[in-house]
Amino acid sequence: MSFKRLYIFTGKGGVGKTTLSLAFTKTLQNKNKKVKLTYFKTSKLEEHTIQYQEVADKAKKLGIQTLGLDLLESAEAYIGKKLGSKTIAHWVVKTPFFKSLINMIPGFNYLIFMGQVLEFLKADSDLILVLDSPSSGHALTMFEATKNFNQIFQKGSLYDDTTEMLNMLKSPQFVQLNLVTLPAPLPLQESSDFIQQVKDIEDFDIKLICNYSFQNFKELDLPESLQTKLKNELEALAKNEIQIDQFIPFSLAQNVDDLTKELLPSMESLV
Amino acid sequence: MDSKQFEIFSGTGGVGKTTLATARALALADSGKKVLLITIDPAKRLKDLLGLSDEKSGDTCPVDFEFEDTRIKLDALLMNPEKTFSKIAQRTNQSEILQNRILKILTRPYGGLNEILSVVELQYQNQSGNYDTIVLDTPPGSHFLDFLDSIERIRVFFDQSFIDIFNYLGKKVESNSGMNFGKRMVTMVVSGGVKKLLGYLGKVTGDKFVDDFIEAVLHIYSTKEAFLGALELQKVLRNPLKTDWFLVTSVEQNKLKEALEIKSHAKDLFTSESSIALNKCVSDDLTDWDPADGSKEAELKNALLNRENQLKAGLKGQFKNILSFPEVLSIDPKEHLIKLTKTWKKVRI
Repeated sequence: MSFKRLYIFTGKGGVGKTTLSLAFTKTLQNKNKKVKLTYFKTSKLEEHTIQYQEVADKAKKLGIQTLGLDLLESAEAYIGKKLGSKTIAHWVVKTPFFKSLINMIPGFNYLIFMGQVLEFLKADSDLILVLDSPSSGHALTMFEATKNFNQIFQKGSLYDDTTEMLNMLKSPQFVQLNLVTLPAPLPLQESSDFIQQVKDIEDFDIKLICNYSFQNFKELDLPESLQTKLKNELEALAKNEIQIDQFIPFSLAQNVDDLTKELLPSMESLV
Repeated sequence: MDSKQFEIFSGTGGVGKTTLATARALALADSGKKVLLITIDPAKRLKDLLGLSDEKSGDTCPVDFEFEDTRIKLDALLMNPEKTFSKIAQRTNQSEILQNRILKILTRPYGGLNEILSVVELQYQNQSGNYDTIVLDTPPGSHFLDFLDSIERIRVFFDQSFIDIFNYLGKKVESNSGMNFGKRMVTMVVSGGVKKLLGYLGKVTGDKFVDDFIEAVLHIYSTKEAFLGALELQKVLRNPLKTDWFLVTSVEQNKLKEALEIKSHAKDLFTSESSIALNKCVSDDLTDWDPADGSKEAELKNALLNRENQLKAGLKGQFKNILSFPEVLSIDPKEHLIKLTKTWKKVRI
């Protein structure tokens, strides 16, 4: 079985990316792979701090290794490598000008983050990273940033680096994009739009995962509203000519351990 | 229906925020208000429904929506950062800023300047004086926090970064007679920091980038009135007499923590006087369902009700209004808009 080096989970907020990233990482770990759940920390926003503290806690509970990337630390490491001096890099990222530059141009964050992700992968050829990425809009910023900056720089060592990043990102042997969606008309339409937008950027290998499916309750005696919900799910799926690679049933599990256990079999088809 | 100058919708992402904001705009327009709906990134089906298209993005478009036995009319604008940037160029007579390679790329959709430019657009539309209420659908989740922060960033960028860079550029700028920058700024004491910084940047990126970058910075500086104008808007957005903030979340997701985080991050905007709209509530539809104890059905019912009740319990006391919106069980997005517009018409804030 051949594995990708980088699996990116993306999708709108609340579709269950984090839960699925955890289960997916666990699946690879159970296959004795050296795998880490990766997430971006932007030190400034409290929302992220709390959210990612939760991811880190859940991962710890499940015995999953994590790699939380901090923006300024990543920038410092990258610049240090480029200039051959940690001292200068430390000084550069501390200047108010550099901080403003990063703040004004959010795409710059993702260039730095993606650069670091690829550095980790290059440094250890056994390592596999599972990236729990920010919601769709951000994920597009993330891919587009690499391309935009590639066009901005045109030549020089940053140009060479972004070219290398683009080549890695668009290689289907290297990266797999796991897009998570919901079984309803609007989310399915949006996922289809998203796939189109991403394919316009590069020809990524994309797997579409449909979470919270009601199809497992087909046999139950459901009230009218839930029957309609199930019927809508089936109709929406039939209408949108979009290939779902994996369905995940709506779960009744009450805690992260049970939920992850329940999800493991569904993860196999995504490996 | 009562409404203020601005109504801002933000949410935890994927909660139906755009549809709810659109339904709100429709309900207000139906009550006789002149309404503009500004939306950032709606799904294609919603765009089709409103008659919006990417070609017309960046300009206000008339919407004519069939509702019960009447037609609701309002204006809608699909954000397009490139167009907003052209408006800035036009209004400040600085068409050359559109030629800069770096700015061209950064003003693409997802190029990175979306949030800042949407604040500028909001300010421009407000200046037109054409509307009683502008309903703004902000970017989802932490994008929304970027939107809030962008106002602060504008200030920091012009206050701090420019002083830094002009300290370095002083001589260069002074010798360029075409650029009319404040002498005081130019003659400020040179710290040397930016010069060194750009030197290092040049080593990594090549000199061409540094030249383009300096040009981009000078261009932005030359249009600073547009950005600083947007800063004025901050006062209006923070005035509870002029702006209502709505936080949107959905029962479908367990996003209580995120909702409360957004509230606490923007505590001067989301006061205990603001409202939270709770989308996709299912409890009303399940009250008549009485499955046998211990059955799989009972387990499902409990799981669904727990999800909704936990969210409601967690939000209690945090907002003045908890507005419940039903889960609309239709695959037709038009049905969603109609049902949610009806719900809004019954709401009192």
